[in-house]
Amino acid sequence: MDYDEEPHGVYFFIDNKSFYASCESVKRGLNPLRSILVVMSEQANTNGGLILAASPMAKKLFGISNVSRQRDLPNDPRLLIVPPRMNLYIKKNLQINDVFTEFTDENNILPYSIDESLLDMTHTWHLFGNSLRNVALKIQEEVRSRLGLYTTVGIGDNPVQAKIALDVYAKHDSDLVGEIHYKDVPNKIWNIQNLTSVWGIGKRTAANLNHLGIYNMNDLAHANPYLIKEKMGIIGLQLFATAWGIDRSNLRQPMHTKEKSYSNSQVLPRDYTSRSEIEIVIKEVASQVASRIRNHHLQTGWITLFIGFSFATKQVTGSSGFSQSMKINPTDDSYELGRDLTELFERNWNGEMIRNIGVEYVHLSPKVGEQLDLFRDNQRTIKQNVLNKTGDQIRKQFGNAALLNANSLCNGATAISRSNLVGGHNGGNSYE
Amino acid sequence: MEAIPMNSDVTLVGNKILANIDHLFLRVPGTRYWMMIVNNVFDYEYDWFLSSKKKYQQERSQPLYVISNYDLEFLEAIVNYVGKRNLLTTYYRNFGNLVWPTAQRKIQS
Repeated sequence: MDYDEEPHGVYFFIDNKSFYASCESVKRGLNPLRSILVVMSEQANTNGGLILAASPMAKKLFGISNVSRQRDLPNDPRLLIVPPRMNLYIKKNLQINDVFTEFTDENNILPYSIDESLLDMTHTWHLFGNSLRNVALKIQEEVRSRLGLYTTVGIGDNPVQAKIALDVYAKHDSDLVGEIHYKDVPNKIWNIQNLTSVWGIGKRTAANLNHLGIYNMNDLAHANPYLIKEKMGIIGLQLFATAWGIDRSNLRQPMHTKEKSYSNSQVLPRDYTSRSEIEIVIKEVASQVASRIRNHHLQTGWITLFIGFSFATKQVTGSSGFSQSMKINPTDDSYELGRDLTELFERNWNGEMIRNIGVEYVHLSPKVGEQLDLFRDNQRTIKQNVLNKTGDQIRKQFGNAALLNANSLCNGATAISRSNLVGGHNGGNSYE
Repeated sequence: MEAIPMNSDVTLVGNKILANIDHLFLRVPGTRYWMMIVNNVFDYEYDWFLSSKKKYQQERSQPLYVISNYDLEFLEAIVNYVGKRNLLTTYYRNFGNLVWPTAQRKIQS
């Protein structure tokens, strides 16, 4: 294979080892690699407790994986259980990315997730060492000495090579550094036997590949690309390129989404069967998303409601829930959106037990003025608009729970209990 | 602006810590409770935790407070204020050979 025409750069994919658990270990004056600690969310909707992260030692000793449940935890006195503090992890992520800006400029850093970043080091790496591995070690040392956290680095000639080097090789390397270059593709990518260990291949994609007689990366690299494209579309072709270590993405080119949308969803603390309780939550979520679009001076013309059934209902009916959409006159009004969504719910609900609720607003357009309606009291519409905006301002300044509808005090409402959560887990602000 | 005297800061922070202890110290029978104060050399702050443990079970550690005023004299004043109002054993971590500035005793349990 001639790679001369392919983009050649220097990319570092950097991941924090057991990030949440490491942050909590450092806060407690413990070494993140030696502590035996798990971060457990004990929100009402986690069914007794959900393990968000386990330290490397906890994983090694007890085989704990993330997203295990409290019941999977051994009753071992060596184990330390701590609650999550999502705001702390966001703060630490920003501090880590700050360290990275000393190695390459901000435009060449792509924060990929809360604990992973991709750095384009093409033009700067040689300023910090005489080999890529040395530069990686220097970045690791800088993060460790300043923040106490251990990082894992994958190095590649393009982003996908760096990501595979990180996921497959760096985690097992004594220095926590992995490297893949074009010349290493046959040795380091084709010999990967487990398809799901490769970025972009989940269980379902792996099953689809298996149907085509592809069981490892060597099979994928030597499969017929036309057949893959025919069966799996453009994604299949992208995976074929991955198998050859090819990635032509340009990090500096901004991504344009086809259509932006805003959504929020939540897992309820228990199974809901009462219509009034479910409708309260639908209205709360509707109002939450409405507030977000108002913040961006947008209005929606298309609303979608997702309802997920409880485990027991799924077993009996075989259906996991429903998703229904409706075209509406463009609006950003919490009341109208809540009313339309509850109408959608009432039309489609047949008394099933419910565990998940989600709301999405699509077909967003800029809100340039108030659309008056001949069949409505326009004074009322204008008043409602002012009320929404005032409510948003109060919540922005004093927090989400500062001003709520009275029905948020009724049984089943979740807005108050969720007001301090970040990404569905404890934000941790109350400790400061 | 006039500087607020340190004593009122001590009262303010101390009372906040005591309120958090009240909230988390559930006095579950058969459970040992203690406080842990960590000298956080990375964030330049003192992190307070309330730990609890039932016999033969896992330890739980809950954040109590973060003192971002990284000054041992201030910490000593807070520890004295809180210590007079609750009897939980306090452990210290990562203080090495540091000494309390006023009492001139080594920082230890």
